[in-house]
Amino acid sequence: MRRQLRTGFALMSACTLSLLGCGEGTVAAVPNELCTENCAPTWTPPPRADAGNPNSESNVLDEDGSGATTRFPRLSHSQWENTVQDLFHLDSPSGLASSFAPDPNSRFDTNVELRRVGPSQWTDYQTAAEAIAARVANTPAELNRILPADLPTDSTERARAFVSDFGPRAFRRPLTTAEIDTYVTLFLQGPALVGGDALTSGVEITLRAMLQSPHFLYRVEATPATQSGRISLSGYEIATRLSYALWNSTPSDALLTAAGNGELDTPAGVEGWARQLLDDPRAAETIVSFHEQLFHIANYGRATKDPTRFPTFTSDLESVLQQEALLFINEVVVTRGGGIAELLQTPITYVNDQTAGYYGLSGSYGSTLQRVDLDPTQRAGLLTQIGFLSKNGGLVQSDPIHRGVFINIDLLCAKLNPPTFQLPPLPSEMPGQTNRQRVDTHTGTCGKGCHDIYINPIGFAFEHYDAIGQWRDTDNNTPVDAASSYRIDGETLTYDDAVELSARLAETPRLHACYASTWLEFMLGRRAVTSEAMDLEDIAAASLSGDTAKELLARITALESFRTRIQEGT
Amino acid sequence: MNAPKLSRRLVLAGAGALLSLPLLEGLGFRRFTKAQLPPEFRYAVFVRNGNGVQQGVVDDEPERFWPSQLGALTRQSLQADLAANRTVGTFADYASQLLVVDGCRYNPFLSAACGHSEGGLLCLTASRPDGPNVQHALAMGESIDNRIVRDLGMSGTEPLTLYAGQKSGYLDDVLSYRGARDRRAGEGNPFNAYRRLFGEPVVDPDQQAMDRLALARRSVNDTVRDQLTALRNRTDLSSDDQSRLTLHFESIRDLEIRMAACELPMERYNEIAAVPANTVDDDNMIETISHMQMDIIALAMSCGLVPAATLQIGNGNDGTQYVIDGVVQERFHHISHRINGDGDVGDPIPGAVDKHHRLDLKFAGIFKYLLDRLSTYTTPTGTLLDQGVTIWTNDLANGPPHGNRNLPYVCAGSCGGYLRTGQYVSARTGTGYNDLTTHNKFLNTIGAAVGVTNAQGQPLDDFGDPELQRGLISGMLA
Repeated sequence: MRRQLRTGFALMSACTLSLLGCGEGTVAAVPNELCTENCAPTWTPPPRADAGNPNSESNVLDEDGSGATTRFPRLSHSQWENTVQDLFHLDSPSGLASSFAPDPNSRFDTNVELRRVGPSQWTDYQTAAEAIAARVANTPAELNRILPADLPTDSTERARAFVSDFGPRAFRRPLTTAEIDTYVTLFLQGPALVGGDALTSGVEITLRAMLQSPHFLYRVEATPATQSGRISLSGYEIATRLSYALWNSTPSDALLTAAGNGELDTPAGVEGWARQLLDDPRAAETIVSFHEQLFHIANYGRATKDPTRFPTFTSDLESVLQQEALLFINEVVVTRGGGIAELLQTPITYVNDQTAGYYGLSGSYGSTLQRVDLDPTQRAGLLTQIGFLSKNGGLVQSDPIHRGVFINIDLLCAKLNPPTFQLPPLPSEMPGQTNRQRVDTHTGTCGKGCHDIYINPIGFAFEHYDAIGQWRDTDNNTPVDAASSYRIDGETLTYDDAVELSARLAETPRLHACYASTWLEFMLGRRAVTSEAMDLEDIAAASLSGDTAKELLARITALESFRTRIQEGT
Repeated sequence: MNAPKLSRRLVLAGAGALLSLPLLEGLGFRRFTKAQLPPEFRYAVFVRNGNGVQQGVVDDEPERFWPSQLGALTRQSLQADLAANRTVGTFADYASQLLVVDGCRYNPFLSAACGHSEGGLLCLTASRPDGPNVQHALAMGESIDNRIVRDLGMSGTEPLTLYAGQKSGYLDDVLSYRGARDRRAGEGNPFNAYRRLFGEPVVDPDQQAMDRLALARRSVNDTVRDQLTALRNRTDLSSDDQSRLTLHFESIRDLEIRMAACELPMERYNEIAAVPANTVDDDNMIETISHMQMDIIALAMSCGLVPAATLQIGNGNDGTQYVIDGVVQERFHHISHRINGDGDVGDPIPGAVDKHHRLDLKFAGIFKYLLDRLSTYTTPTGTLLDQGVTIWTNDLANGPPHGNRNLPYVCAGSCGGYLRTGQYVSARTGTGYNDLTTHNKFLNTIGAAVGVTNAQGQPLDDFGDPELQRGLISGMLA
């Protein structure tokens, strides 16, 4: 298996995309006059130190990256919201983060590099801290949830007891003596700074300060470097990584206690705790969120369709199609314990009256989405569902190019470089000409290296689905030909249609290598680098052998990559 | 819009709290009033649309954007241009304050990939991309709005970065950069932007509570500053982490106070507050949201809050379905390619060239709203519009082929007399593509007009990538 997966990490040759528009979610090619008017230099990748590496044309790994990241990854807005809810044991989210200044978009919202605290964020954090502190301190039921038992009566000792109890939960580590003293002093100034009785005002001003602290807002990884290379994280820092990776929230008291007891000092200890966390519903949310972002589900149902050809495909389908995909992922990955192979091969979905007809289902389904079995000769999994197919579908026709590009880039981690020159748009269909024939003919003369080898063979497999994903046997009155073959890692995958393609893909190591790498990117907030190839092979092998997504996550947490930090400049 | 209300109330940003003047002065806080807006205050506002404008540079499309003749612009000439279906004619009312700049292009750092990506990241930075011009490419330098605020703004402030329209996850925010690979996201909800800048209106201020809040905030801020200082003092941090913590440290402001002139009339505030958060990015709201953001920009400038602002309308390849004459149109990006597709596959859109022009007129009308708002505020020397410069641009020059030949630049306001107005000027040196002026010189000129200088203390002439030819566009100078 290891040998086989090594092959899986040795990726296809880089090629150049040519016939892509600047549409959402794609690498794009837009005609530019520069080459005809100015002959601009083409993009040349910077020289690489590992030019002889057999993976050098791979995009499973970031060959140019060091893996070093910030020591101060700021909480994402969803992490802030979850953290506050868990920290205060609130019954529901506070909602305060919904008005936070937006962060720049990235492939995954766990990206650690893009999130900073500028004036807008600082203002938001101040406002939110004041609001939640006032609410909790002045709501007895909520206040009681965060007060330690047996509070001393002496005011100073009471302040010390609160700070010593709540502080480690907020900062996700024990406080230093100096930090405790600082917050005790602040607590005792509560009546003057906030007003009201000593306890509630002390709690309120302390909460305000802690929630604006960099030690709350950042997941600080302060462990100093002792030598070049990887830096082992402290138990508390690992607990924090673990919790945010699996729960998207702050560590539980039990996990922090375990960190203090040294239970996270070994790979086995980390993995054991990961398995506990994965049994919590919060982990299920994270697993679904990962796939939601991987498959760009937030854009399902947002593609424009010709209202004459597809009068029922209207904007109100957006939430339906997105919910369909999320329910499917939850069932396949969380409930059934599947992984990427099952996501591509499970012929079920969720439909309502609006969408059942798109799958050729008759009967009444009401407005609530219901689970249905689909015809396994026509539907395989997520890639053959309406959401994906319509998102990657044209106004009136199928779109094999975008379907092929998504699978190449996002599921197979293929390196497809952007185009280098202006190309003409596809011509209109000729009478009796299928869309496949049109695309094939046109890309045979431009972008052939990329399209013929990588994009078209994948995209053509979906030609049985029209612009919105409905099954069709003919296209332009000509029988659909969805058969093709795709060469990958020295093997040739041959298939008659998307159902067979899904099965072939599920067997190929490349899919699992990419899936493992993408999970690592999601969990660490950065792309996997070449030094992590060996570790990822094991995860990919587990995926290929049928391990559940949860199992993969548990194993990733035991990797050195997860338990250490790469020192800057190495 | 009514003139802003004047009173001696002071509003605390964020909490909408109030403080007494004696207390504030005792604490050493600076404050602004409308009347005190320094006459030397300068600003630059950039309003950006995407997908290029319909102009006649390629493909035999008719010229329907620029004025018909270089030279002086008058109300009459622009009215005639509008009658001749030239978009810039929309600004006939501002003829004497207008400066239209012909003949700029981008420097081709890389070959084509996604023109939107290239245009977005170059538009205000004039910096090279960090890699191929695809979805995740970032600029390797700061944007001009950032430079202006960094040089001229108060400590702890950043450019006002606003947005109108949907964000789809593909090339959303493109304009504003703190530095290399450090892009800002624009605030798309005017209510959030307003509250962040001006706080919420306070009807019955509790003076004692306000005093207490100010002191409490300062106590908390002192604690946070100490912690950030301790972290910054570590010697083993990367330069990126140092700058990350420095940004955070410098963002902490003990108090922001505004005279009550810095608030919109309650009626307008209520309109902004009434927009449901889940609708601010709806296609049919983009014009309304743009207007609200412009109200906020004009108010911010009237109070001297920040010397630079951007408003990005639509994402990188704006796919908004705009309404023309009550009819919902095809996605703008598709119209800009003249086909029902994102540049590759698609049947022709009938009348797409006309529709693109109609959309240009719509965007011109939106920009004119900002000019109207800025003109509402009067200063001892005229109107707020002339105290700064307000620019309408597009990060691409044209529809097909989404190139950058003759980028559209429409400026309004003389920036205190620094810029030549009432003119349509050319920055070309000849007729070929290479005779167009690289747009860094346009950005230099705007920066210089606002008061930014180079390292030698001379007017800014070296903004952007160091390989670019330095200089200003002389024809823009008064």
